[in-house]
Amino acid sequence: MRTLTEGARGLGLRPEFVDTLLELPAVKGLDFLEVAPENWMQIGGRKRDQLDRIADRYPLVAHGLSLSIADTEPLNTAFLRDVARFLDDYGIAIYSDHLSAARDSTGYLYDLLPVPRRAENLPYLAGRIAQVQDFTGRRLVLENISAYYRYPGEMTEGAFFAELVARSGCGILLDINNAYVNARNHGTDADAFLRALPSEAIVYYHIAGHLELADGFLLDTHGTPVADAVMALAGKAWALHGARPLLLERDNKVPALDVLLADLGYIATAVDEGRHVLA
Amino acid sequence: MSSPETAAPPAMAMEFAGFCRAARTIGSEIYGQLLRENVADVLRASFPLFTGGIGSAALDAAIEAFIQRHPATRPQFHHIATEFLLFAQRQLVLSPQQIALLEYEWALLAAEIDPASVPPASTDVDRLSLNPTARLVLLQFDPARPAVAGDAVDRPHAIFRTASHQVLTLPLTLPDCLLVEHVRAKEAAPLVGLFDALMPCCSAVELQTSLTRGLVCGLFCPSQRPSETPHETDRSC
Repeated sequence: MRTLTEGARGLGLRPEFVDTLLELPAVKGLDFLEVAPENWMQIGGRKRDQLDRIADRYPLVAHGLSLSIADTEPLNTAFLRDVARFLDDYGIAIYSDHLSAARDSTGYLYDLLPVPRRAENLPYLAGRIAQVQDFTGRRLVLENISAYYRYPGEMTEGAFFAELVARSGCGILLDINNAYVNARNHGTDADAFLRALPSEAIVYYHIAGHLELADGFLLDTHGTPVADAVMALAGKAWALHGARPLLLERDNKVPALDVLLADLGYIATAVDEGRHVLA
Repeated sequence: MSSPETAAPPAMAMEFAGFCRAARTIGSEIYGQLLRENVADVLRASFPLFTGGIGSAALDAAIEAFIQRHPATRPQFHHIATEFLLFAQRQLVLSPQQIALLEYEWALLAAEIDPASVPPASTDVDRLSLNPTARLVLLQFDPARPAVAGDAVDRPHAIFRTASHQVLTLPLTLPDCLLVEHVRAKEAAPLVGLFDALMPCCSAVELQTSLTRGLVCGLFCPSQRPSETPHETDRSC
């Protein structure tokens, strides 16, 4: 397994640019790629061929969408076995998913759904995380989602994450854009969220763009350039928690690879140099 | 560390179930909208002919019914296509033509992503196997013009992925069908004796033409003797 340095920069692997990437020698300034295991595992043909060739050139991290760690059904162990096999096959050390649910008692819903953040739910979630870590043989890393709904009277996201980390030993994938989107949409304090997180648990950062609707509501679309305010928040995260591998997500309206790489370089350098830390 | 909890706290289960119920049933609510958009995006990408032909109102109604009622068991987002097909076959009121188009597009998708490895095409073979990604289907329309209504006559086709990752739809003749059936029935079917077994139904020329075409396009693949395959176990007693 290949490890990432704190200053590593990565992109989410997209079909839109995978052919271009394969035509190039290893790209300077692109240190790793992130793949959603669900989109690549148990798949053959062109996609499998592409992934095999990409894996020969770049370290991979796995970022899942379908683990549904926080749902209230039994864990999908068949799915977990497939994920574990995929991680082993490609020598992937970091496996992350979202602190969310994707399934109810009827079945899968195919989205990242918020779950109630209550102290009494923490032992259950910590137990589920332990099960996943046993299955995969890896520390589970969980990302803070953009949540468009808040349950009445629930804990703050920062306090909930911190307590969950303390109980389970899971890692955190800190998504700066999601932290910003949640703070704007719900009128909460993004700085306080960042301060509540234990630095040592943060494994890497996500950064992405969002869409602002006419009424000011923000949607986490991954379809626009990163907003200055999100860059500023990233600077604060760096100042608080230190450098970590940084990954730029772009899943919609994906520009050409050279544009994405230029964006990634600009963001990483600016955040690293503290140019976007607001007073 | 706390001991693992095996069941969710009842209050958590009830609270989350209420949230999901709203998302499933209220399309105007933000998560209701997101669920419907996610499914619509996958269906348009996976089934362009079906979604293009059914009309937006009927598609919206189908997605609404799918989200409200279907117990999807496959977690992967790309399997929304498979889940929708299963739901459509059992629960949606669609015309036979619409179901046929949906099944055809699903078969194309399934062949494209089938995990099996396809050996390179070759005409220099001793033993044959059927392309491991092949799906054999009966179509009542011309795959070259799938939007045009067919003549209600079932015609056999093979859908498969080549070694160079192309997905082909091949109309099958009678000799093709005989060869396919023979090769499917025998693991690593030897060429020797193949024509003798099928000659009562077709001429040698017809079979040779069919075999050559199948090998060139990749419907048939070179195969090793069963005892030479890596996962073969000793079946002797």
